Amino acid sequence: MINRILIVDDSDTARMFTRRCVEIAGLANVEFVEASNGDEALRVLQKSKVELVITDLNMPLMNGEELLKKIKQDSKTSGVSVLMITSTHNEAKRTEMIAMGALSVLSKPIAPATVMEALAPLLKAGGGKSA
Amino acid sequence: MTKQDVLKAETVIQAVSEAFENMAFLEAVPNTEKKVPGVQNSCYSKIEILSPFSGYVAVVCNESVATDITKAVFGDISHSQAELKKLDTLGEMVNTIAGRLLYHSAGGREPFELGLPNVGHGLTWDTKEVDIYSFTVDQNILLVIIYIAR
Repeated sequence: MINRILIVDDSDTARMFTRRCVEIAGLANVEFVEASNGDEALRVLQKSKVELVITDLNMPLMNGEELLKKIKQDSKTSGVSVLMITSTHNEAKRTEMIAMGALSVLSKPIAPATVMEALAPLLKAGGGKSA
Repeated sequence: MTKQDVLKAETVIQAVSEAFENMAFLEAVPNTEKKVPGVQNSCYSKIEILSPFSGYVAVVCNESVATDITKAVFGDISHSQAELKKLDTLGEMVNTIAGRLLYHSAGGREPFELGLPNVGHGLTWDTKEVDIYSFTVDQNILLVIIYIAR
């Protein structure tokens, strides 16, 4: 069950856009929390229970790849699902991040349909609060 | 991917259209006139291309276009937040345009890396060094400027 989603991006616009895509994709009654870089995201994860992190890859201070690594290394957060978003393209890097435990790696601009498709395994397994 | 692939007009148009239609639900219509129109009272966002070659992609538009794009993304914005939101939205727009441009230029087959966007007012460029593509967004001009190191 997805109750809380953490959206991580250094851009307000991108965070808002991601949130809107998730809502249009049909996840209703979900609480959203936000962070503007990986470091801030880790602090949020220490304080609140989050089922899904949607993070940009290219960010200052701590990027999405480093954040994914830290989430998966920490036994307290290793069960959290992580969806990556990026404007760049690198198939080898994508494969590496999936191997590190990322749910999927989506290209910008994201759309509700691609978000839904990426989250489908998660929703089937645990059930999200679909509208 | 060659430098010429990145500068093909149809690829630039595709990248700009995808970014505008998906992010702001606005249409960016390419201008066919050879003469590049001036942009008064302009703000810009710019992102470095780090690999496979160096260069940059910049978006330049007037305050009115920036406001329209920002309102399309956020809805109404308070006066105190307007400037920050406008520049942030332009930064995300150039990030997406550059990503789609390089993705399509390589046919989705080659890796590329981009820097972080920077934003501001009054970008200057050397017209001999750059390629400029002009678009109309809601009756205002928006320029996409691409520089690839020779």
